[in-house]
Amino acid sequence: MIGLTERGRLLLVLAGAIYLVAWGFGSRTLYPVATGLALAALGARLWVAIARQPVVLKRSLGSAEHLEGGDVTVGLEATPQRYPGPRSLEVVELAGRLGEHRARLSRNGSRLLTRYILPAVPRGRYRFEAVRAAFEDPFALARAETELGAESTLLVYPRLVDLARLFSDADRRAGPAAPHGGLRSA
Amino acid sequence: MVKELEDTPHDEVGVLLDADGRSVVGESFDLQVRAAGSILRAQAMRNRRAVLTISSSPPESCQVASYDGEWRLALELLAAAEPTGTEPLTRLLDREGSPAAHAHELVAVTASLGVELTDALLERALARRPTSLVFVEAASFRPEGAPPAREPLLLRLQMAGVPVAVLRRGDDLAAKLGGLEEALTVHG
Repeated sequence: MIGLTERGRLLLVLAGAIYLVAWGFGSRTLYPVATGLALAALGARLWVAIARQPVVLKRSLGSAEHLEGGDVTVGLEATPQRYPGPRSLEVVELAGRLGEHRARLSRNGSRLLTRYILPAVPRGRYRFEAVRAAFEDPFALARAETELGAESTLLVYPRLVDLARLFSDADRRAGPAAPHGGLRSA
Repeated sequence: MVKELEDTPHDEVGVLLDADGRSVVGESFDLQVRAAGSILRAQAMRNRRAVLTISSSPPESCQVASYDGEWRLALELLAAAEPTGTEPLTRLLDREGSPAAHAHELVAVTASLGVELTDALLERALARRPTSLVFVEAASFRPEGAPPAREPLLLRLQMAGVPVAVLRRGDDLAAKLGGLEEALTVHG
């Protein structure tokens, strides 16, 4: 669905107002201004209609194991399926409990690329879903969104500690003893 | 007459992670997961056959025969573990076919210690089946904190020879689970 943004709608209202003023006061010089503004809004809509196209989105979460509390760098790469592709693209994705993230991809050759960081991610399994791509004209007058099928899962592992020996080993050898945690005085 | 006896081999160590959501305060469940995972990994590295059971809803289990083998699956299970459980741990221990309950040695990791669980652990210990407990003091995760609890049930377990490790927010996990803290106290 292609629609005008708030800025685009304001521009159309302004064009209408200027047209009315031109008609009311008989000012012929204002007609081209009103017409130009209206055409700009309609042109933006046409721009977005042409730019909007199927996009293949790839997400990279890095090859390293992600541990809880660490930052996760998400790389996005969009490949337009038609020429000319958009110069920039906004991707909106929902990553479970991490919430919604918006990232703007910029043109790099035939692809659009970006990277963003999810800071201090808690342990968990996060499913990236509800991915949408938003196409806009350069003046943000019109906008169109399209669903992208680029679901993937991010696993953030717990931070484990190395245990050469276990508290239970020592206790079994020694028999009844105080718990490890300061309850001796309890 | 030669009688052939076949028995399903039981796991050597069962690590039972209590995922009862009612006892979770802040990030206390994450500490339980870290403790359970660290113990499970230590056992796997000793080449002991282990089983991890999480009392989430539904309960999930994963057997780890070696560190090189199924450990990865167990780690993924721990990564995805959520405190969605609603049943007390004792029900899982009583259940027929519960792999952790059938293991020779049991390590329970919980933040909720009731009389029923204490009795169940004592019963195992008295039957000479190695049993230990990691107790996470969830109250210490409250924003205002909480002084160390004086839990009589922990003392009951300890007096019966059940090894107990108590974990609080900010504790050195390696020192507590490795018994280093206790060793330092004993040896000055």
